[in-house]
Amino acid sequence: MTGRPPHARPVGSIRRAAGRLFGARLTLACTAMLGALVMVALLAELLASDFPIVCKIHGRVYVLPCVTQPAALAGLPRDVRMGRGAGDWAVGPVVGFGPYTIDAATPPLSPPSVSAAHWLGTDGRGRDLLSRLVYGTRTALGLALLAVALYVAVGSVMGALSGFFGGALDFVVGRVTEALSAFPLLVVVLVVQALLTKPSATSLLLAIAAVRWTEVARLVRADVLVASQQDFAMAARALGASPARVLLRHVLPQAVAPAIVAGALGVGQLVLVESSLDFLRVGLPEPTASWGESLAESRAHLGAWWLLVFPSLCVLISVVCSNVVGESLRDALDPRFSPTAAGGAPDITPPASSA
Amino acid sequence: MLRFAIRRAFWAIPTLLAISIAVFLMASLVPDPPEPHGRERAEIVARERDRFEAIEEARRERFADLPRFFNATPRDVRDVVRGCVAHLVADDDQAVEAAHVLAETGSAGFPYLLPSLDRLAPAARGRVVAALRPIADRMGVGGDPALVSTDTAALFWERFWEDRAVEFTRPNVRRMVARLVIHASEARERDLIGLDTFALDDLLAALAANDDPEVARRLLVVVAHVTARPSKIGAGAGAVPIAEANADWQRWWFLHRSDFVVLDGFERIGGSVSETRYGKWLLSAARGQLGISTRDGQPVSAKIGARGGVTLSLTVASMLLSYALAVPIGVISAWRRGRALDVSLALCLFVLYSLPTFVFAELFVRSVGSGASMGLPIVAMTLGSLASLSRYQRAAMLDVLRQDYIRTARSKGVSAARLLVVHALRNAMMPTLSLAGLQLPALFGSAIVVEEVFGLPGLGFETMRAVEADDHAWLVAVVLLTAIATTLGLLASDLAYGLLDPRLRERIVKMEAA
Repeated sequence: MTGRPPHARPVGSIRRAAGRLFGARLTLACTAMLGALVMVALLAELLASDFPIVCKIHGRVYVLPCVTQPAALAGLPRDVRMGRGAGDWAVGPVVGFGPYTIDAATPPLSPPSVSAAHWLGTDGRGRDLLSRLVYGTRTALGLALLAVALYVAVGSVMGALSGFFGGALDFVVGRVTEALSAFPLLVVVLVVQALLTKPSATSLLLAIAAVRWTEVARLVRADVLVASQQDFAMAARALGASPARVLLRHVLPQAVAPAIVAGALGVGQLVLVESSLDFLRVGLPEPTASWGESLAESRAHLGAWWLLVFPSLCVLISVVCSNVVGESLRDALDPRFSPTAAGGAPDITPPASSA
Repeated sequence: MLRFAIRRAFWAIPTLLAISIAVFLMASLVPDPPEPHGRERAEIVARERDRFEAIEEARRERFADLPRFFNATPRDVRDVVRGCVAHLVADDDQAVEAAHVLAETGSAGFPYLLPSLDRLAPAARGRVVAALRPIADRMGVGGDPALVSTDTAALFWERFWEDRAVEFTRPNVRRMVARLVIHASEARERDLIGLDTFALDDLLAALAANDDPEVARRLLVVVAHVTARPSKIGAGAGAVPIAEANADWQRWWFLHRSDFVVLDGFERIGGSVSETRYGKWLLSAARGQLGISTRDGQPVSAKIGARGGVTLSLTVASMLLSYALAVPIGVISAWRRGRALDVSLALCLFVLYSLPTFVFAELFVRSVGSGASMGLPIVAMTLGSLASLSRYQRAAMLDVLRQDYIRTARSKGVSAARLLVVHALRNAMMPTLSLAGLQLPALFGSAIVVEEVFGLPGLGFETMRAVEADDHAWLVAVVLLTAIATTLGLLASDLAYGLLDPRLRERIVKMEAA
């Protein structure tokens, strides 16, 4: 950290980082892929639903029935609902099945086929796999992004306070950090979900954040500690700035980089953990669509290769992308890890695995 | 080195305490067994004695009758007696329960009850004396004709205390217990039974100190008679070996001791911490009592011992394999830094790292089937942890290769293989090897998944069964075990670091302190 020039402004370094970031083609591709996955998660209803996007049925025009799910349409047979009746029309979603819909027309475990109704086949209960994967994206990324936002925020605050003020607060935060980081993430979340009478997505989120904030706190604390002892911080203090101002305006911006990097890498790790938990069926409550749940289905049906391959690909792609983006961010934001400093290819150093 | 080791170990203590608090809070997520109140409680006490006892015992087992972290007024036998007498005097809802508790408390409460008996109103005194009747039977003085009517019974107890108060003193009890330990005779047994629950503290202490099954049997007979609790020894139903019965009684005494003894002085000060839910929980965990598994009624600690072998061999083997692969990979990619080999190895490892462990496990199960062999589970566990370890090795190797002495060796014409293995690797192995202590507990997460997929009967497999059966004691124990193992692993790796490189000692301790 001492290698960083004290006058480096965070805005400048982020802009420089962005330039380097998008210079690399792999990083660009991965960022685009991650963005696409986020779009899939956000627009899941437009991609897979039992209802059309826009339709006119029985002389009435419905806009976005896939989101509102009007009661008037719910009772209709599938053909009519999808605008096949006389005088009706509909713009359907890519996949005409919701994640919980059991298609009576197709037997369960039908294999993938481009010509059939279910492109990626159906799972053991006759639900469309592609639709489940689309909504699984929402589960995986939604959970990972929320949890990351939560623990990065908590970790930054705790790390900044303990690094800046030191003393007893630092000691307590340090011990708590050390104690909590002794718990393997998967084990803790599994046990907490099992101990609760009513496990939910919220409890899962909180359990993850309760363990993972320590990593961010440690990184932020180290940088705050260094930055607050440097000349510019002392100068600000000498000019009469309040401790709060010194911390927020001068010191904390120096410690933003590790928090951002930890967050980007954390998304991938949480996707792994979430899929493992749902695979063990201790993550989210039962009917929720998730990649891990589809993979768990594959355990019961060993012949159904598509239940193993496609969800695994989803996990692989999102974890690879978030790790590549995280690593590139680290190279760009942190001179210690820059390719020129280390020499040769950028170090793709995954953090110690927790899944 | 010793000074460094002690300082480093000292820093682990607050961490372990914080871990215990975190696990305790996790265990508190489980709701307590419900406690009946008011009328409902009185009805259960009056009609369904056994059910009430079971409820009370379940709450005791979870320490639900205690405050969470601090107990300003730890309850002892004086409070028990005072409370019971108050209820009997008021003759309220809980008078029936109070009479029963008073009888159970027995002679341990006499010093705080009998001297003040004549200060009570006649009607209240009658109720108290009636409640004392079972104690007289237990002590073997129930045949006294004075006990028939409540008026004479009060006199009987006053006279009893005048005559025998001198026997109810600690030195006397200790001597009598010691005599019974040395030699058995019916008279000695009868004498101790005549002292009733007042002797429990010394009896249980003698039990804890004696391994001799014959002595333990003698003591247990007295203890069981005095507490009216099945002794679990002998030939009857539910009989267990002496050692097990002894452990069971020690546990019972751990939960009930404060009902029979006086907390004074240091014990009272300590009681404000130890007579709490956290304190009791920590004390019993420290004695290895992690509860009873609700799934099969076995003690959790015994089950961990039985199942731990599979998991330990799985994780150790996987760690050895990942070192055997990661070190050469790291060395080669550092040597060929930035070349095609380095980049392609990095990409392969990256993909391996980005797939969850269970995908490998599933692939193996599909292609080969889940045999009893340990080979495939080990490989499946290794693939995930390979990436981080070999990248650490690569970074350490890069550091070393930049040093002057490597350039010197190179310029002297040392061959590449000799340079890497003899000159560089020795120094570059150190950071990687010191990670070993951390690697083992971190692998436990993968062990759960792999054991579940391959059906290996280890800790992880048992954990998944515990999740299905809501076996809370097991889950809490497992989480505590992994956290402690991680802390000790970290300690071990720091000590190894300090042993290998004395320059780092100061930094390690400082980092802990800061």
